[in-house]
Amino acid sequence: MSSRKADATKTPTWQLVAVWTLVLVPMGWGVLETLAKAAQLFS
Amino acid sequence: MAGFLDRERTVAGPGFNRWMVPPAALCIHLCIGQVYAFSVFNLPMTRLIGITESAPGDWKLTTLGWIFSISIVCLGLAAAFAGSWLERVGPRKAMLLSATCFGGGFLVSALGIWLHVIWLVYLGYGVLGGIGLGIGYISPVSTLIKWFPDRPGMATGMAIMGFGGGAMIGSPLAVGLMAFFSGPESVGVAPTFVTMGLIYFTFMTIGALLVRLPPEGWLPAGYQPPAESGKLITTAHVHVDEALKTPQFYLVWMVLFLNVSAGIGVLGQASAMSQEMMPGKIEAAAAAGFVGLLSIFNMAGRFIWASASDYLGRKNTYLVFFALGMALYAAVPPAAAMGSVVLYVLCYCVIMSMYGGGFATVPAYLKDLFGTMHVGAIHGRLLTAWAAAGVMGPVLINYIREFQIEAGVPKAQAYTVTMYIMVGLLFLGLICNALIRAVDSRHHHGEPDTGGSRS
Repeated sequence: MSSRKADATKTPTWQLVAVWTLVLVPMGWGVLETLAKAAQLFS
Repeated sequence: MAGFLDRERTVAGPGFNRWMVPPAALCIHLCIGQVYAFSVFNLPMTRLIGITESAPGDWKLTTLGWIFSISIVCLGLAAAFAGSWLERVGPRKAMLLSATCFGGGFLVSALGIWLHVIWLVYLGYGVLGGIGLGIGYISPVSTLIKWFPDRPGMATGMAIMGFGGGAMIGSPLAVGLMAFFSGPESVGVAPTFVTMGLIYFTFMTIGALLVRLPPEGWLPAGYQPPAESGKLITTAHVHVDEALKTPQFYLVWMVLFLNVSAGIGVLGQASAMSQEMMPGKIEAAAAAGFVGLLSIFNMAGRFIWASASDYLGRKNTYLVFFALGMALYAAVPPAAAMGSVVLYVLCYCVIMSMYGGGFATVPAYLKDLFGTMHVGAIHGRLLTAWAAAGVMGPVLINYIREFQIEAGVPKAQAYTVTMYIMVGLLFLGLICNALIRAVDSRHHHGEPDTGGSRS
């Protein structure tokens, strides 16, 4: 368990946040665009 | 430079956080998933000379239809032939080659559009792009399985979800860029291709730079691998050539083929089919919304079902896909006859989630049966089932519909027979899945996965 704590500090949190933001932002944009189109089904 | 791309240079140092790897995989899959949105270029590409409407000499839709078909065939071939090479050279070199082929394919096609030479477009997006698709699709999968031996379904589900999401990004991106570049003298397709090629190359290269392999024998902290093989889950490894000699490979091939065949035809014809089955209830704009909703369920199903398979087991997950799929396909004609839009849409949304789930769960199924060592190469060979289903699914939907209409069946009921044929296909899949047993130990080689260093 202590080794996991020590390991976790080797990859900085900002790097994790940056790479996940890089992929989640375009994916979220695509989903929102599609949801806006899907809303026409029930309008 | 070559050294930097080598497999040995891709191995993570101590303390590397494995959650950095799924975004690397998503960088690839979110880009190559654009292939499902290629149809947004079709109509503008029939007006390259006439601009406002097709002129003599402009390409026809039938000519353009080959671009997508060639790219899917090349995807299947590249995945089948590059799998063993990928396992040897590691994911970074393969992902960079995929980025070069996919991004380069857009650039060659842009030249073909600019010069109005169709074979350059076939060569660019079709052949080069298709090779990029195939290599890119399988590149991160085995790496993710090695990083997440405790949750292989969830890990590959995340990446393959990106492939479903790629079309959702690619479609509005292409439409927006074409609107930006179009003018009185151009429909803006060529500059759109150049821009998208450069964006996709950059994004995929970031993925190639981020990806890391776990050190030999690495296991997640706190994870205890099973000491010996379970019912279907092996701790040994099967070589790709040996895997092709097992009945399990062909049964999983049939499982994927039948699951995909049942969904891919619906996905391709969803707009027209929904309007014809629900006349007066679903009009053109609502049908576009229906297609969008199916895309979301297709994407979400990839992550949700593949993650669920870590708990349910792979065989049970496919049992659910086939049994529930049969019930839902059988429920579609009565739902349409009742005029219930909600029930009709709900049936198809769940069906589409299981179509996506079938793609995303299969790498973990292969890992269970054949071990991790050659899973990328075996997965590549298995994707020929996708190419075969890509031909079979739409043919079933389109030709049976035409046959029914010619026989005098009203359009609203022209799909009824097809739905029952889908039930039959899924029943065959159910049988194939039920026949899958553990791979015989005479096919095993290498050291079993029973221990190693932890971080």
